[in-house]
Amino acid sequence: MKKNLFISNFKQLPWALICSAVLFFAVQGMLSASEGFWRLNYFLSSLPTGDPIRFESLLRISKNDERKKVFIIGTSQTREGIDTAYLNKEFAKDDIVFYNLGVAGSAQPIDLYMLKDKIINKNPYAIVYMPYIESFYLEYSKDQFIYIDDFFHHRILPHFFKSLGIRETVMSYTKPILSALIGKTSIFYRHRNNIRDNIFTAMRLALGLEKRTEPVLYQNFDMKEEHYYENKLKEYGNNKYSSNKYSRLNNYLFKELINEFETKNIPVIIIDGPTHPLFKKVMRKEVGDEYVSHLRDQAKAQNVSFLSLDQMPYFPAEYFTDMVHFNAQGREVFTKFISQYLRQKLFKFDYQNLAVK
Amino acid sequence: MIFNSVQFLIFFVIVYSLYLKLPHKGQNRMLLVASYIFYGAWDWRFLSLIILSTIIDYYCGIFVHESKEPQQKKRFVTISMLSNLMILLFFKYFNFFAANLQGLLNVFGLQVPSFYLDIILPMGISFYTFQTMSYTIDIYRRELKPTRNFLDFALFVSFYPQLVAGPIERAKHLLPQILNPRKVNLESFYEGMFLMFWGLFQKVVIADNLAQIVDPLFIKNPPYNGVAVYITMVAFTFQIYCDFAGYSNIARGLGKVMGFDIMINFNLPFFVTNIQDYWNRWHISLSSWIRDYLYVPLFKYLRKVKGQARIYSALMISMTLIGLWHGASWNFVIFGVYYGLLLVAYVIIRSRCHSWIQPKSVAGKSIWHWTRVIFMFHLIMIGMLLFRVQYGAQIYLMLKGVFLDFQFLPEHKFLALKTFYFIWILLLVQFFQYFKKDLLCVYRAPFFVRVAFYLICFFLITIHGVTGEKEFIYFQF
Repeated sequence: MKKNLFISNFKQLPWALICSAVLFFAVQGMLSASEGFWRLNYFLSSLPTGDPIRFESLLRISKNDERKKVFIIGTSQTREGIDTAYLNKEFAKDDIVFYNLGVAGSAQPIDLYMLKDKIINKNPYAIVYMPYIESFYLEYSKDQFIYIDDFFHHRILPHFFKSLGIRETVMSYTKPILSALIGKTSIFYRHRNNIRDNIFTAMRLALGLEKRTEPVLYQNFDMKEEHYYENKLKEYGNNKYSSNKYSRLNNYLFKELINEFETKNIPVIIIDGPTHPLFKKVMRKEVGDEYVSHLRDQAKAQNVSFLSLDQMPYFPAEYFTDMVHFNAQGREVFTKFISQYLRQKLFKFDYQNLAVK
Repeated sequence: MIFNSVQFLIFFVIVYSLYLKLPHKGQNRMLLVASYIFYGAWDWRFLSLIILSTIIDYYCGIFVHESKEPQQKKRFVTISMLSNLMILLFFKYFNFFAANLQGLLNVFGLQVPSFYLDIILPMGISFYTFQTMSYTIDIYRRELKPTRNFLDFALFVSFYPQLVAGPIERAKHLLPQILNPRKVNLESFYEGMFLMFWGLFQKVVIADNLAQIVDPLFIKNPPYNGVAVYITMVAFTFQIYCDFAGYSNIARGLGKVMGFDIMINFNLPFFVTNIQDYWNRWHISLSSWIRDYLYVPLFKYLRKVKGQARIYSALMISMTLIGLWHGASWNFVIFGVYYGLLLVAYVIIRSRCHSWIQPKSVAGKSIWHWTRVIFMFHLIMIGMLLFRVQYGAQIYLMLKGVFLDFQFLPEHKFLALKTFYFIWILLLVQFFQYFKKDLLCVYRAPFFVRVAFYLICFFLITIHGVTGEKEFIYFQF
């Protein structure tokens, strides 16, 4: 075998295989650089599974947008609750365009910390971050969130090592990190699930079996019945969420992020995500208080606009599909309210002093 | 440990690296250890069964060969056969026969308690028991001399590439390759790697994705829409082919890179024009085993049966046992009987109608040929349905749907397109193989064809490759 080792004989290398591998990566590079590929994927992406590719598509598409870009970042609550079509219409004269980057999951500062370069590189005019209690107090999990698999960045590792310890980091995150590293070399791999869904969506569209829908899901759902809420209350009692090592890391990274955005002259507006009136009953009261006071203190300390729930109108149960997602009616009311608030904030920016006026 | 897993990749890299470094004897010892690790990784307790079967057949082989008296030879070959069949019957068929016996007794008014045993079916038991039986029978028939090297024989029984799902190798083919030094060259290395690549592609892209189309319908409650059943039958036919042929290709590829030549198990079975040809091309190692060790002896044994009935009886018994070999369930028995009837029908038609169904023109011949191919494919699909159903009545309910409720709904367009999306590349390769008369024609194709082929495969594996280590269907047999 040694005499025949193909490395020793250049002509006997499997050239067809090598060429196809090179072409495979070259094609992906070209597609990745083309706006058309991302526009097509955005067009085809469907909920609830299409969030990761929709997120990246929007970011990529926004790159060539010359208008003032406002990125709205958050969870599915953000995706469902804020109607960017309305905002874009309202702010068209001001040359401002909104991108709704809400993604199912909890949009923790851990995620944003990994994503910050991708966001900063797109030169946003402002960032609206809409967390809710889960964004800080839910235990980070590889199964629950898409970010680490799709947008892993090695800068998070020292923080994981410090907060979780090397053993837990290795045990919990090796597989998604390895997968993410492969994903970095191949967009087809990174978005394999979404591209697969998009191919099938394209088939269904081509066959006339469905029409393309906007990436909003919950407004099409009926309101949950009474027993859903009863079950949730029973399930969690009033004990949902607790301070944990992830919440401490989130608080720390949140501060870091705000500092970094500030140094890049990117204003940040934080909006506490509204929830169903009964939601308060499932979460532990001290944690809820801690969450709000922490956000408030942080915003004050770092001169960031913060819109808390008590500064918002009351959103009754009829506006929600479930515990956390607005229905069509709620989305409309909330977007109108947010529009007014953003108009006030976006045009009162003083880059030297971002405090709430 | 299954071929489509990361564990196996690591295992293979280690085994292959060692293999290249070792001399012939060392290679065989290392492969034996590796094969036991491979099997033991699934359930180490069942290694004892393989070792037991190995010991029995090793000594029976020697005793059969050395016995002077025919009676003595017969005794030892019977011991070998009975012990293998006992293992197989107990682990695979005990509960099936017990439940049916109980049912039968209940019919006659005899109330007997259930004697169900909680038995785990050892993986690949039907494959290695058949392989070892053929060894002793071949010695008995004086077609083979027994090996005196126990460890090499143990490797023949447990050779990991084909241990759990075949091909069921014959000792006269595989054993000499184990006993003699093997040559590993670049050509066989590339061929082997290509076979593994294509086999893996068949499994993780085609078979496992088609499973997602197939499974929902079989779980669904009746009534069944005929179009949905028809598309699902097509999908399942290709699923099981790619699952099993994919495994065989990987096994052959694994053998090839080490200088082994493992037999071809599938040879374009969907291009046949008659049912006999189908069984010469589908699961060749099993059908030829049954032909050589069951059908032919049975045909000789049934000499008192006059005329064509002798062939029919031998065919029916052999095919029913092929069905039963697949699993301890009535649908497999029906599967075997179905093919037995088709073979009998074919023998009758061939003897009576052959002369008058012969088109004269080239176009006529071609149309006649492809009509028969398509017709055969439909008969095979029905066989596959019998193979896949969850319960007996489902066969009737599904076929009823096909014949009495063939309503085309808009959703079926998507189902059909999705099925085609996963099989088009297989069809393309198979047509290429068929017209070139070469199963490795893609490997030997012009440079740009290969580049395009690999590129498409890379794309499909990346996007559609089903991860999660889904087991091969034939592991259960």
